[in-house]
Amino acid sequence: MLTYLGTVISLLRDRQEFLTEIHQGVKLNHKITALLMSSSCCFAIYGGIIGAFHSPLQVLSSAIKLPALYLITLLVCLPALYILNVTFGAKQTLTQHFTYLLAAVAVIAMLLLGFAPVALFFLITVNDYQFFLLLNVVIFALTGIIGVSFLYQVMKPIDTDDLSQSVKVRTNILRFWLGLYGLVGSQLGWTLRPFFGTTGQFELFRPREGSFFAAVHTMLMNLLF
Amino acid sequence: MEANLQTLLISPQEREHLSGLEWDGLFLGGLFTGVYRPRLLRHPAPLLTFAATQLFVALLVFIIILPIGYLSVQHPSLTSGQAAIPQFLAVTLGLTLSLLILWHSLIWFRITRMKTLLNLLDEIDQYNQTIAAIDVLDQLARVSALPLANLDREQVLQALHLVRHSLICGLISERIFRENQALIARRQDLCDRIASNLATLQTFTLTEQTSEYTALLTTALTIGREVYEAMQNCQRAQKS
Repeated sequence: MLTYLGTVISLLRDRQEFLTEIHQGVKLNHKITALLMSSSCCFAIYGGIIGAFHSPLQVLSSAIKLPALYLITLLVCLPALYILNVTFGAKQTLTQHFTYLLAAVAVIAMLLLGFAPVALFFLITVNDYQFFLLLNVVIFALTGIIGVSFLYQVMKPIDTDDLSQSVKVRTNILRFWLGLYGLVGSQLGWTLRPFFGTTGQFELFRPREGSFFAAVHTMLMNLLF
Repeated sequence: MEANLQTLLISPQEREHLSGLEWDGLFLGGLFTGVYRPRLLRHPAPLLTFAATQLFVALLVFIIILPIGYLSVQHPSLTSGQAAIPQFLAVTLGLTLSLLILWHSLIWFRITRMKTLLNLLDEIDQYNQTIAAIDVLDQLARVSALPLANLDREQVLQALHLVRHSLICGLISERIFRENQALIARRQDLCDRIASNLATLQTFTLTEQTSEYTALLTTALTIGREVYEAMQNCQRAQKS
């Protein structure tokens, strides 16, 4: 267990070395296990905190749903990235792609864990659902942007040994894929809601209705008109 | 530890390099695609790690199959409130358990296929412990200023050198057997070398039969013999 923790700490402390090892395919299975373990635990802790706004049942539910949100989004989007990259000349294996993505997810998880005391503080001191929701939306957005920019830096192809045309295409693929990752993540988050739980009875899931984007559109229309 | 003892040790990196498999303390070849070492589970610390890992894998499987549980409670007859919980748990826990049983079956299948390697790793652990024991004896001798049984020590070191060579040959042969199922000319040569090392080991006699080194030499001989037997078994399995 401690060796897994050491692996995650090496990602935070010596990122370049960690990424070089992924590039060279060094101990990928160990890295995958360590990243999965650490990110799941961090997401579960943060999920538990946001669920604590409602009830103990919601704590359990959100502690499972939040890791599911990030990991399932990654699994859904991974084949598209891998196949597109390989089609346009990438030499990394599927396992290497998976490890890179997991590293980015682990960075998001660690950042969320860093914000956990702040969320806990406001959970204890403020009893306002809207404020707590807004605070967490800001935290999720901030950690998501940092995680995605990390992934962009890490996976951006460099034209040392590749044709520059292929590098350009793959950079565009990566940009497109990051957008796709955001869309899938948003919709999955909408599907798996509630994470916070409004006042009233505990709900495991809400009935399947519309999409995240339709809901945002409706909300904006209501705000503007 | 003295330099000559240090060079005798078989490090985890060397084991990984020779066997071609990632080494994770308890798991060999990765958590999801490899095997665990059943013999290590006799000790409390690895057993605890194993239990924690099982719990983690169960939770991870539960998380991954969450969408199936979600779909199972989308039926119009089910409300989205607490009534959906038993249905959701029955589906997700049932699937989680099934997948865990499948995973363990795969692990057991791999364990039976990698028995030789697992035995060799156990022998390497015992071999490294023997070297650590010699180091302890050296330290005790230095502190108590007792006369050193140099001849015995040298013989044990020579014996361990041969055992090391046998273990390395064993790891290389096992990897060749594992990665190349077809007959390979080199394997006979490697097995012959292991047999020759065992024969040399058996010629060692210690001057002081009651010395602590006698026990260590016996251990070295046992390891050498077991490596030889493991490789013989492996060869027989390949032929049949």
